[in-house]
Amino acid sequence: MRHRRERRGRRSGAPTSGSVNLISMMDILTVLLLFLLKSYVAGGEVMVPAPGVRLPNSTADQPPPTSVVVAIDKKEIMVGGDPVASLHDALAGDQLEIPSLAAHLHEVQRQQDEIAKLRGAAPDEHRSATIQGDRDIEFRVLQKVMYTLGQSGYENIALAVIQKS
Amino acid sequence: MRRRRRRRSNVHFVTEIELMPMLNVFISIIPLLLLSAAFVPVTVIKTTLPTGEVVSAPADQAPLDVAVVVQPQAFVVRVDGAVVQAVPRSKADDPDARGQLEVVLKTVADAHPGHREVRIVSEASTRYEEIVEVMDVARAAGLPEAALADASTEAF
Repeated sequence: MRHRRERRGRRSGAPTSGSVNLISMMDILTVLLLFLLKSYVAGGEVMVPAPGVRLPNSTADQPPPTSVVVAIDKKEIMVGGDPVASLHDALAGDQLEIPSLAAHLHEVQRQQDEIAKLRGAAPDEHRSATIQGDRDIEFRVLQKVMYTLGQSGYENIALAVIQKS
Repeated sequence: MRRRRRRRSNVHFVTEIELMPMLNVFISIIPLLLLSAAFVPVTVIKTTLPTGEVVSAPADQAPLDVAVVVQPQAFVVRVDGAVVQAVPRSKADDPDARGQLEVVLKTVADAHPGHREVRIVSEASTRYEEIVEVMDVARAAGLPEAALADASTEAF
């Protein structure tokens, strides 16, 4: 009924309130939505690099596993986003193990075991960890972090990189 | 009556789908997806722990030891301790040296079919990016399983 009235009004030359044509906007939004959903489906496990960490580029194409993330930027070492030790402290000693990182990893491990127990599953024997290292860090930092991970029971270590196109 | 009929035959009904609810849903979903979407494809390189006091090498059947020593001036390829070839490099990011290293590693890989491991021996100050680059080169040459090692504990 309204349309009819509007049409008549238009015909008669009276000013009418025109409705915005939303179809083209809907087209764009639909395409965008499909694209975003597709990137989700194709991606599987999505890993976002820790802020401040510039990952190195590589041709590797394995998807990131679900695991504990140890991020190393130019200043500190972080586990799951929490700063654990500064690089200065980590490099201070002669020993390869970083005590504060080891302590934090044990805490993470304890929580993982507790969750596994609540689920009724056996604690994971082969733990895995992902290292997100800044491209400019030195090998001795990486070595210490990997050694500490190894000593803490993390056997499968993956190095996160950005895939080269 | 006449008037009514005339209107029915002349008026072309403009049917319009009510798009507003759909639009509202889209507008709330899209920022959510945009925020959580990963536009940078992050992948991983699986690796084994650095050698030294960490891992005891499976020395029971004396496996072939292919090592790439990353030095500031060169990549040195060693097979069972013996230098196969040293690839000089002028700077850290030297594509020519990388290409040459790939050729050398490919020769080694072809000479030992079935061998997949390579040790990347780095110095304490070697940059992480260079190590990842050498891993890429080794993977391209057919040695995908890279292990990291420290130059200071190596006996040359």
